[in-house]
Amino acid sequence: MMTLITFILALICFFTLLFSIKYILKSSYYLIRHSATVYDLSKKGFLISISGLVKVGKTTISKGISHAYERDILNKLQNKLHETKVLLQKVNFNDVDKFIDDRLTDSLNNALKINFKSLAEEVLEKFELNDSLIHDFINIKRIIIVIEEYVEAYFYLYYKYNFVYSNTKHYSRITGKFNQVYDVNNQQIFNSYLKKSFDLDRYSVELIDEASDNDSAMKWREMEDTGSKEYRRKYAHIYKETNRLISIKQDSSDEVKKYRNLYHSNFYLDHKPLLRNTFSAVRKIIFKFIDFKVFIFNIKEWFKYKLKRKKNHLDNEAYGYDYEKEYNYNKSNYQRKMDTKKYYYEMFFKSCGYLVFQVKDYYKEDDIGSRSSDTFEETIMYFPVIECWGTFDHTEFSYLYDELHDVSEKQPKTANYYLHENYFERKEGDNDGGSEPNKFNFN
Amino acid sequence: MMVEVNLTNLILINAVIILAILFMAWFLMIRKVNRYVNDRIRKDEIMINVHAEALENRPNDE
Repeated sequence: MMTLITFILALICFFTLLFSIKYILKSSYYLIRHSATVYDLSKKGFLISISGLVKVGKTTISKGISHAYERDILNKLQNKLHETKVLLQKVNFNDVDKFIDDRLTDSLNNALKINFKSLAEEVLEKFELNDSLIHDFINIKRIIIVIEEYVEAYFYLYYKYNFVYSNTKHYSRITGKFNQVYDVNNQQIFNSYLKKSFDLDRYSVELIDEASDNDSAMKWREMEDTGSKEYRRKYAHIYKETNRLISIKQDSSDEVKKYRNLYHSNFYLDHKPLLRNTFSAVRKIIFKFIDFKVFIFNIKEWFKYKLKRKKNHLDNEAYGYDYEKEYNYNKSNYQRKMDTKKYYYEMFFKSCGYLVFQVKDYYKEDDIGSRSSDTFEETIMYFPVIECWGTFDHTEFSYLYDELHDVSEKQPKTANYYLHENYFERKEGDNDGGSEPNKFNFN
Repeated sequence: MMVEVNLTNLILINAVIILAILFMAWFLMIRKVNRYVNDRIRKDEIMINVHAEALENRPNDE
């Protein structure tokens, strides 16, 4: 008997171990694939276009990509700080950081628009550095520029810590902040300069959802001489290769032609993402256990109910108390409680998962949608679920309905099956805007 | 040929093996899961707080 018990226990332990090893390996695999995706994306271009079929997950993947770029930006910022410390080896950066902290919090009062150049000059003055040159056998760098970039990176990393501009709502899981409001007209740099309204920073991700709303192909004439073309052409230069622009639209051709040709990467989605690594075996075991608990509870309640009925001999109404109701109420209540438990377990396991996207990266914008294999490179991207779902409102434009509904004075009407309206009795001005009398009016 | 097995010894050896397996399972799984769950709880709390703050500070609908 004892041997049997130990054998069963050993079996349970063995399976637990097997499960744990399986899931640890699986999770590690997806984690590594996600890191590989982040690395691959960091090697892609700065202007990224995402197009695809309706409701296929364009916005979802854009959120995943923007999170990946946020990680990339964080790496870049850390590297920039490190690089400066390596270059200016004799400077005590503890003191420099303290000085910058003091200036940013006290005199600049936590402002989000900083003149980095003047701050860099102050740093040079304070620490008695000469504005000389550094030669590293390839490049020659000015010290003031190096310091300026350091101050900039320091500010973005420790003070601003918000890297996403988006025209729709977005929450970043990495920074724990909402997006910054993105005015699409910022792209028209000539106008922005004249209006003094440019508010984009370096080290950011620009997300333009439903790009055809603003940059529709029909508006190509309006876009002339606004500077938006120059903005995209010189994008990497303007932001010193720190920013990314992600533009999402259903139909890639519904964008100004000049814009379309300037994208560095053209992602096309034609499959829904797959949800993986959701611990389904563990979930099933837990669900079976919960079901068993419900079963036991129901039996217990049934016995209680029967006992009560037997004890009181007569039917419940004579005593003013409904035992059957109580029994059903308890049963359903417990079931509901367990359903809630199940729901949260399921959602938690889902949230641990990864979304797998199959993406076609077209070399040329004109080829988008083409099936010939030499026009695109197929890549598989892995993103954690919590960085894709739940970070945005997937029906962002639902307020359109609310606005329409509020304004409307009509209400739905049931059709009469047997009523036919006279087809030829058209109302006046149905087809010509009311300028001429209706030719089809026979009355 | 019959081999005599001492039942007490067998149980003891099994117990040791089970304990070792349990320890390994704990070492491999629980620690990793704990770390992940703690991290998730921290991030989720931040998210809830940020959302709640935004909800409180929204401009009043007129």
